Amino acid sequence: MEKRQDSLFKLELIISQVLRTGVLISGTCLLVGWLWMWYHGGDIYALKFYEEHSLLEAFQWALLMQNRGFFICMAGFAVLISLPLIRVFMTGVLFLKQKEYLLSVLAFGVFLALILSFSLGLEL
Amino acid sequence: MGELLLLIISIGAGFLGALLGLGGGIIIVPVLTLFYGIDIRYAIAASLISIVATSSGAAAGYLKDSLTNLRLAVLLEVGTVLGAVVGFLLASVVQQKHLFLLFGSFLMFSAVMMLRRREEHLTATNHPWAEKLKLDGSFPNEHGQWQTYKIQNVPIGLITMFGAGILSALLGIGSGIFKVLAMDGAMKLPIKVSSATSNFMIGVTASASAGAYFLKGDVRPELAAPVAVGIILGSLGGAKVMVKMPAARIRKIFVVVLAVVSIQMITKGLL
Repeated sequence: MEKRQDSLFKLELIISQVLRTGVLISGTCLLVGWLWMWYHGGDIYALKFYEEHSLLEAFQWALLMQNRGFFICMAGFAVLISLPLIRVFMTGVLFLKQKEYLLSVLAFGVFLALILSFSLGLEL
Repeated sequence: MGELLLLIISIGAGFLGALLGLGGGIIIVPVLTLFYGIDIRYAIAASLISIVATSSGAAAGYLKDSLTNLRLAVLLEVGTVLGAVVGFLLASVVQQKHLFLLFGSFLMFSAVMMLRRREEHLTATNHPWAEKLKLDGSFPNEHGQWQTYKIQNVPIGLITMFGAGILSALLGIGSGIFKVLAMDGAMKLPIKVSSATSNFMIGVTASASAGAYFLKGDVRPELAAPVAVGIILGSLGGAKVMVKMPAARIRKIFVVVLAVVSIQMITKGLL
């Protein structure tokens, strides 16, 4: 019993560490990427008017312009956005280990809803 | 130069947000749209990214606080995430001027809510769903003693979370105000528990639509990166000096600022 409690506590600790490390990594990527883009003449005032550009188009453009800052920032965003996803998944595993099956189903349901939500961005 | 100023403003927004218990979105969206003239859709996407960052950082500390109700958070996240999905779909059909009107109204509501004194509405019995899922719990009160609590009106809580999710995706906010309103008002949770659980959930709500905006190409790094970095740094500072600052006085000043900005946002929506 004590061994099981111990492994659950370890899992909670891992969730906490993943979140902390993830924020640190993404924050660093965003800072470095932004400074890079800014140094090479990025301009926020170009965003006064909305333009429909898919992520793929933005990637192609950045590749063409060799905009490394853009890719570093994108890596930072990807890490950041995936953190709650990881947290929800690990919470599902935590409940599964505690034999709390209903809560585990709910957590995995939230995980799937998040995936569904992300995919809507690709379709529109 | 505008970029550097944006970083400084974002640090200020994060600082003030942490000090007053608000998300940075409530400050940063009006700044980006009214001051910089940035399209509100880019501002909303940037704001959501910064909310994910600050909330993930805060959620990392949930083990220490003994206040977050993880079981309840998972249940209510079903409502907020589904709401965020609907909110994202709505965002593609709602006109820009209506977003300004909605945001302005939200700011006015937030200003009124900030003047309200939160009171405990504890209950001695559980709602059947709370009983089935064992959602009740205990927390350390101000005297250091463990106090148990029960939970009421779970379906109302879920419906409110659905609405909070819609507004989060539409306006780029964390919707914490609605979450705590449902939790300590309708569900009768202790204030401390409802605040901690709300903060824990905000990142998941915001990430649902932030991920969609990201894949749609609306998260523009030249804007969202300095805003996120600034708000992370500012909120870290705000949390550290929280106890030393005259938060009550700053709160009163901020209510006035919110009301003025709210009128500006509504005016922009009407023009």
